[in-house]
Amino acid sequence: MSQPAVEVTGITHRYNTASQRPILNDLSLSLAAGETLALVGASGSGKSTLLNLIGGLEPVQEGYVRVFNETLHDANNALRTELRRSIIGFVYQAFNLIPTLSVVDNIRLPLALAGVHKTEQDKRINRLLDTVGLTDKKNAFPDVLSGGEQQRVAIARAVVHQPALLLADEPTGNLDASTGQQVLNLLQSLVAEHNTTLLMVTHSLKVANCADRILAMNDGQLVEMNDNTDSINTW
Amino acid sequence: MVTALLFRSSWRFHRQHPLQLMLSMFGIILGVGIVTSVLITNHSAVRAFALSSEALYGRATHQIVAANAIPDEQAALFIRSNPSLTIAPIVESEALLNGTLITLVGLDPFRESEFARLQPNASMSDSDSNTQVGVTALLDAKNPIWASDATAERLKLSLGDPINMGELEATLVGTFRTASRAASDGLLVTDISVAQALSNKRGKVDRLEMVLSDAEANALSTTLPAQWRLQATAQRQATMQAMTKGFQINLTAMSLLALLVGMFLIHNTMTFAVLQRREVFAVKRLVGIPASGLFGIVMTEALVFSAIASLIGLLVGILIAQKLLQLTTQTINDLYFVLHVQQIHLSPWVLLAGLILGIGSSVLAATLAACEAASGSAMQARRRSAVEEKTKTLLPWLLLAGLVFLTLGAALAWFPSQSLLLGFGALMIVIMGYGLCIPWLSQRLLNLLQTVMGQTHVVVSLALGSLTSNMSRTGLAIAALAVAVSATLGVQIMIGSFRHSVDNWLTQTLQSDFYITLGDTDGTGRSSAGQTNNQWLQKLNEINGVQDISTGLVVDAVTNFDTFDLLVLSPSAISESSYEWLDTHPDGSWQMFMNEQSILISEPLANKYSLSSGSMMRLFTETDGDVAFTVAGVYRDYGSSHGRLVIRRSLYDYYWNNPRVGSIGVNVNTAADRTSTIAAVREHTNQLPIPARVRDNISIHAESLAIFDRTFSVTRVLRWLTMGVAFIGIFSALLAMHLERARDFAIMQASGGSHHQLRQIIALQSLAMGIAAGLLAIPLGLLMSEMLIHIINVRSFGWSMASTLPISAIPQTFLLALASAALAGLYPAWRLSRQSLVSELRSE
Ligand SMILES: Nc1ncnc2c1ncn2[C@@H]1O[C@H](COP(=O)(O)OP(=O)(O)OP(=O)(O)O)[C@@H](O)[C@H]1O
Ligand SMILES: [Mg+2]
Repeated sequence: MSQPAVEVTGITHRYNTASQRPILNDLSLSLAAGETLALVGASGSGKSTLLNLIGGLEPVQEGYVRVFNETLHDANNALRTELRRSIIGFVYQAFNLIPTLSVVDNIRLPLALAGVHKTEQDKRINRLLDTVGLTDKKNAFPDVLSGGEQQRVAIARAVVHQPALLLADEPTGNLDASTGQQVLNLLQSLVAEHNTTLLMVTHSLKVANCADRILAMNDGQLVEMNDNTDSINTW
Repeated sequence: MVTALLFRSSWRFHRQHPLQLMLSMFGIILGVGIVTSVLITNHSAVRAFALSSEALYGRATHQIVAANAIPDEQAALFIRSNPSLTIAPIVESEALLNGTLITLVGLDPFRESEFARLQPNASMSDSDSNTQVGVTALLDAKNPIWASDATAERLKLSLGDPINMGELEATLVGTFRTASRAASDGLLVTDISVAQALSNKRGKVDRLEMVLSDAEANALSTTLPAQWRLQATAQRQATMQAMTKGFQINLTAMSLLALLVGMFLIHNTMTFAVLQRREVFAVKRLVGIPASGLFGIVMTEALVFSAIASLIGLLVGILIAQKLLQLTTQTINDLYFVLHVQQIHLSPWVLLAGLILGIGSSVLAATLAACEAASGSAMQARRRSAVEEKTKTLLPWLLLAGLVFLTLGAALAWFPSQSLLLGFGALMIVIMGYGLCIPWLSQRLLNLLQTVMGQTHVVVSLALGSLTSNMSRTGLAIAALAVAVSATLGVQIMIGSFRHSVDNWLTQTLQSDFYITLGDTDGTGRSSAGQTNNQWLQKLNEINGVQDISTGLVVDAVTNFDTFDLLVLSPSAISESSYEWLDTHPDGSWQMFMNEQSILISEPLANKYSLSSGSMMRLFTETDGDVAFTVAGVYRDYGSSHGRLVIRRSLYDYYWNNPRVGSIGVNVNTAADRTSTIAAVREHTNQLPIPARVRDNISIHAESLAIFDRTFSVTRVLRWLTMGVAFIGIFSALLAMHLERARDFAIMQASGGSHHQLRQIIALQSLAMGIAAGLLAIPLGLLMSEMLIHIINVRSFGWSMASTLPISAIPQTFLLALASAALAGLYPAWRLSRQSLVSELRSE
């Protein structure tokens, strides 16, 4: 495919004070469809901010963001909603499950909001529950689940509408090594199945090494990393 | 150190949620304001009464009254034969002056120094007399009158102004003041003979006042003639004050309802504040802060907020009291006796009571939240669903408690007693009991809605689902709204039924086509009555078109129970049909009334003293002193809650010597022309030397209903204020719910929910709460109206009535609940589009 999945050009982002140094400074990024990209960088360097901008959760201040040829930087609310329903899936740094909805209803949420038919909903959800291994906990509420289980629910919710782009903010951050590996495997198999483009923030070298490409956030800019780069231990 | 840290953490939390805090403060402010205003109003009325008594009676400890005033000669004789006593003859009457009700007192200026009631103003008093009310001025002008400073100022009277009262013209020649300015508001003073002339009481004084020791009083009472009575001034005042007690209790109860709804608000806010910080609290527990510390924090927060809000509430209360006082005074004048109150009177005790009620109820309401903060294992406290689980298991228990309360309330209501306080106790317990059942009931209702409509659309299911899973908040909000709305329904039905009954009663009572009122009506509905002669009456009866006439005169009658209005009736052929009997005598009430030594009594009197047909009542007569009369029947009468008596003219004339007539009912021949008949009656009336008014029954009917409506304006004002508190309640509950769930909404939005969908969810939630509150309010409203009509009204006024349900009231109530819930949902919906998605998603 010639058309890039994500095209970010010259983005600059500040929080409140204008005098402050921008978090993102004239940053550009291009992501091919089907590619898996790992984003690394020190804590507070602006990784989550970048993901939020691409996901349309935060308004773009300066620069352009294009996702599958849809421009996000000047999109209105309706278009953003539409993009979130059709193209973008998001796994948050915090799990962000709705505590008053059961596992199955949390996963159902995007489909229901998008108006997908009930039988189709159930079909997809049941398959997905099977994949993430939570069929027996489908009626439980989030606060009785373990961290790994909650993250799997969050991932299931992020992919249930089969988005072309999956943004994952530290999907394994809160988990121990073996659970992290499980979750990572799950992500990879889901991505492979639908040829989904994956942009993933991580602190783990092991996780980052699974990606096609690794970018590091540094001083509001992105630096391409090769396998032999030794600056990799700075984060 | 740790405490300081804890408080800093609290402060930061509340600063981040200013709206929530402000709303709850506003609720307390209104609640305290309403209660305080009623306390101030009642206190001011009582105080005004005490002050005006002081101004009227001065140091007088006793007074001598007679069955029908005291003739001048007898008074003079009594004074002469008791040279050791200081005795002041007094004439007192009420009159309308420039549309304002005033009290005119006639006294003997030379006897005043002993009583120390009035002081002439220095600038106007005569140089030779400082203690006597301007002697020479009284002698100079024709019909001179003195006004108190307050009266002159209020009525804009200046010296030399002519004062028109009755058929005479008087002149304002001076002003006087009393120890307290408010005491003499509405007071005019003049010489006895002028007062007699102005009030049509020629040759008679109303009472003889004296300053007596107990021993002197005892000695004197044995020597008095049978027609006279010695009364202690204090006794009379106590009786009058007791009359308005029921009315004042009514007001207080209404205002407490507002405070009850206000309590819900503070409970709601504090619970919200605790739930929001459950993680913070859990962490604090984990780092070793004891449960009691957290309990203390929440209680201190409640204490501080409610203290601030209550203080502001006091100020608001003072403002409301100004308005309320006018309305109450009007009602007291309409229903009981003449009271001039213009100024609110602030007593530190009343303000303290308002403050304590405000703070006390807030702290009480916050205890549940404080327990919540302190209780439960720290880990559990982190879980929102644990709270909801607990609420769910709590609901059946609340229901059970509610049912117990309802049963208790019903038992209290049926308990045979005349106690108004007990009645209100029963009412409050029933309201609380029902309120406790509401969360369970609304959960059922919402579940039902969920099953019926949840399948239709995801938005509906999401909206209703989160309502039921947030029952700890929704249940209470629905309860508060339902209670407030039901109160408006209950009061509306009560007033409606009351009005309907009064309307019917007026139709039945006003049987004559025309009424002639003789003399001046003084605004209390009583006429000072004019002298007519039989010849004139005879001529009236002979006017073409006049079927027949009845005459009436209202006088004060002293009985073995109390002093009541006594209607002296000379009935016409149709007079009998103007009475609705509530209790008849086996021998025929009317038959007995017309032929035997008997009287009729009104319902409130019968209720208050447990009298019925056949009972005996002693009246203090002019000729024979104490005389027993049989009660021939009990009739319906909404005209006075104190009670009234009726006696036939011929019997009255036997025991009393007062040939005057106050009013005449004229019945027109059915065949005759009404217009020409009334013209002839008017012309005939104009020949009388005294002022007279001819009115038809329709206009009297309308005027009476207008007075009735005026009576309930206080109730209406209080009802709307309570509704205001409830509205803030539902508003803050919805707001709290949505603030607390802001993250959920952000997640929904991030998962592809559009603004439109989220607004729909909020709208649906608001509507569902409105529907639940509206539906649940109706049974409670009906229950309240029944209790108000059949218990509260009977006990506070002595009036029984049938309840009538205005059909439109029920949909109105439902819509009121729906509208306030919908209105309360507007702000959260608007706020939604302004919230930052990222910052909500970030927080955990
Ligand atoms: N809403 C906000 N207001 C002000 N500053 C913010 C806000 N959100 C983020 N920041 C700041 O922007 C910087 C970048 O934040 P961001 O969350 O993007 O970092 P990150 O790279 O994801 O860090 P981590 O690896 O710890 O998650 C941080 O210094 C943070 O304090
Ligand atoms: Mg981050």
